Amino acid sequence: MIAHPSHSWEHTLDHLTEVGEVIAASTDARTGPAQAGAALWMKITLAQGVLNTAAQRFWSHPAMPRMFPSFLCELYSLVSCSVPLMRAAFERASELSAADPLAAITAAYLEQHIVEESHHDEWLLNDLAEAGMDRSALLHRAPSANVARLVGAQYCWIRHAHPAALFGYLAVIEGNPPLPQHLNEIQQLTGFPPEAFRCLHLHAANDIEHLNELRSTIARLPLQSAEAALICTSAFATMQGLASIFVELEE
Amino acid sequence: MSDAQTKLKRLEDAGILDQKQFSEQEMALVATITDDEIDVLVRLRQKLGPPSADKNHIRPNFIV
Repeated sequence: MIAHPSHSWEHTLDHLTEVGEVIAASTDARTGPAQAGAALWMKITLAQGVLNTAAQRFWSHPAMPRMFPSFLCELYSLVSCSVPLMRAAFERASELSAADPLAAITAAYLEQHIVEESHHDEWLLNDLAEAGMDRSALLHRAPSANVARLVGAQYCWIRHAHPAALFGYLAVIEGNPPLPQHLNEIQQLTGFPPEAFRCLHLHAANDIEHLNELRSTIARLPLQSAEAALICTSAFATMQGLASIFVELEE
Repeated sequence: MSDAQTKLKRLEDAGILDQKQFSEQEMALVATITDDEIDVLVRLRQKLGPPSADKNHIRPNFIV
């Protein structure tokens, strides 16, 4: 039996909002624009503990094998939303890029990254179908409220703030890529066939490179305080949203 | 102890970072974190409970 902390997770996740607000409010206060991106990445990294702790609770839960198919449904929803989301940010950044250096870097990064991530939803769908999950049900399942909140917030910031907000989302998801050792453990615990994990293993192998590209891009972003705060807010909302998916799967 | 070292020690004591896993350049960035930011990070870590050394390889496994 796994002993879980007795504190309220809902309260802890609410506290994450406070952490994000404090960090967003003071971002760039000491470093200046030249180092703002690198400092922002560091702060996001240090706060990732909340997501990792939620992940550890979920993946160590005695009922995890029973909950695993629901995780895969959520994962497929999120992955199938990713490229359209990045395309929306790319299009908005392209519109702004002539007069906005931050938008120009955002557009250049996303143009390349969309290519790198294209068709991963199809690969994941094939993996899950080969593992015995219902392809049609996965294709026609509407994203859950948690996934809609997570992705929908990004559309809002892309359209009504700045498309660079998406860097916060990407920093959290790509900043913590899967590890082969952990994927192998999950496979053993769930009894799912290796085919179910091919796309995840591919990300375990490739996301280190993507992580380095993303990190170097964020480090050279020409950020003013408001833009750094926006990316920070986006990152903390993403951490909270992903942790909420784990919490809801446990309920 | 310098101001930067004090901050690093607070973060390390709270289980938020391991100085051995950070480069000098990264440590310099950590030193730019404000006291308010360190306060909220430490409080968040306290609410989460201590980190589990045997679960460090566990990842969320969300991908783009």
